[in-house]
Amino acid sequence: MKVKYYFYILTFAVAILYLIGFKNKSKTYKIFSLFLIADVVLNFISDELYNWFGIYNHFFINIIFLFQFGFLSLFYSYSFDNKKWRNIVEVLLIIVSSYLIIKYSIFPDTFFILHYQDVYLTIFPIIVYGVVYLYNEYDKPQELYYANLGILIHFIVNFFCFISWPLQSLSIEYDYLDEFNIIISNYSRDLHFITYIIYAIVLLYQLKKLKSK
Amino acid sequence: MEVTHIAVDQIIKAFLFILFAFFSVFLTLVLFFYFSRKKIVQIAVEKKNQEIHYQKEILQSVIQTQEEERMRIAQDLHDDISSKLNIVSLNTHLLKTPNLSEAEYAEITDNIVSLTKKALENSRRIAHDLLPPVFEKFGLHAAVEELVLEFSTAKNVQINYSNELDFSSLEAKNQLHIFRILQELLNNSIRHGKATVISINFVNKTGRNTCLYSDNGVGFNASLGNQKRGIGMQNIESRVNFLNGKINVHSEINKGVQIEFNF
Repeated sequence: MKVKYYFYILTFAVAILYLIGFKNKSKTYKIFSLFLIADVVLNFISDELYNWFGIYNHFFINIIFLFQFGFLSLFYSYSFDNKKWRNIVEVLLIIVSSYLIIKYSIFPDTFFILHYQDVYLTIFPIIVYGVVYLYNEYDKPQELYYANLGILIHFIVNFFCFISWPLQSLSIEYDYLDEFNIIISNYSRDLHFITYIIYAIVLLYQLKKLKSK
Repeated sequence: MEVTHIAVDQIIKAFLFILFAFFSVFLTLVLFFYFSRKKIVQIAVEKKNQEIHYQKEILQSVIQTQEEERMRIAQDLHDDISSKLNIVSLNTHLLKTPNLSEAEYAEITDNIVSLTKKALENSRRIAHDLLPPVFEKFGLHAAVEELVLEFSTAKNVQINYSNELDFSSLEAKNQLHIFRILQELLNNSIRHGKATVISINFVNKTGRNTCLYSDNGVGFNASLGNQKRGIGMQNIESRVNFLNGKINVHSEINKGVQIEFNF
C-alpha cells in the first residue's frame, strides 16, 4: 500500500474520533468535525480521480479550496466573540465565494486550472482567522485552541505548496529549471506529508484535552 | 525563443506572487506577535493592579480590625476595670471621712477588696482574650485544646479536635496566625452559622501541613465570592497569605462550611 493511503487512514480515523459524541458538543465543534470528515473524503476523491476516471484533479482542488474556505469561515464566524471579526468573516465569505463562482461561470476554463490567485483568496483569509483565534485565547480560553494551531500549521504549509504550484508545473526546455522544479516538487510533497502527521497529532492532542475536561 | 520568453515571464510572475504571499503571511505573523506582546503587557498590568487592589483591601481590613479591637479593649477597660477602679477610688476617699464607725470602716474596706478582686479578674480575662497565656507557655496545640474546651463549655457546641502535626518547628508568629484563624472560624460558625458540631483536624496532606475545618451550620453561598466576604474572612485569607498557604472555602446554604488551608 502506498504511503499516502496510511495518511488517509490516519486522518480518517482522527475525523471519526471527532465525530464520536458529536451531538452533545458546541456548534463550532460540530462544524469542525464535519469539516474534518468531509475534508478527508474530498482529498481522497481528488487524489484518486486520475486512477478512477483518468482525469486531472485541478478542477477538484478548486472545489476543495472553496469547500475549505466556506466551512472554516463558518467555523471561525461561530468561534469569534467579537462582532467586528464575525462580520469580516461573513462578508469575506460572501465576496470571495461569489467572485470565484461568478468567475468560474463566466470563464469555465479557469475552473480547470489551478490558479495561485484563487489559492491566495481561499487560504490566506483562513490563516488570518486562525491567527485571530490564537490571539483571542488571551481573552478567553478557546474550545479548539490546539485544533486551530493544527489548522494554522497545515494551511500555512499548504498555502506555500499550492502557491508555488505554478512554478513547479512550468514546462521549460532548460534542463536546470526542470531539475529545479523536481526538487521543489519533492520538497513540497515531503513537507506536505510531515505536516499531515503533525496536523493529525495536534488534532488528537486537542481531542485528549477535550475529553479530560 | 518565444516559448522561453513566456516561460521567463511566468517564472517572474510566479516568483513575485510567491514573494507577495510570503510577505502577507510574514506580516500577519508579525502583527500577531506585536499585538500579542501588547496584550501580554496589558494582562500583566491588570494582574498587578488587581494585586495592588487586593493588598489595599487587606490593609483596609487590617486597619478596620485593629480599630474594632481597640474599641473593644477600650470598652472592656471602661466597663470592667475603670468603673470598678472609680468606685475603689470613691471608697478610698470615704476612708478619709472623720468619725467613721468600725462597721462602716469594715464595709468600705470589704467593698474595696471585692472591687479590686473583680477588677483584677477582669483585667486577667481581657489579657487572656487578647492572648491566652497557655499559648505562650505550651504552644499552639495546647492553646487550641483550651480554645476548643472554652467554646465547648461556654457555647454549648460539640467540637472534635484532632492533630497529627508537630507545631514546634513553626515560628511563633505563624502559630499565632493559625490560632487567630481558628478563633475567627469558631466565632463565625457559632455566631453566623449557628453550628452545633464543629470539626478541626490538622493533617499532613500531600506533604503540606493542612487544617481541615468543617461545621454543620447554615452555610452560605460560597459562589458569591468577594462580594459577600466579611472582614473576618478577609482577615483569615490575609493570615493564610502570611503563612504562604492557600485556602479553599466550600459552602452551600444549609450544608455547613468546609474549609481547608495549608501552611
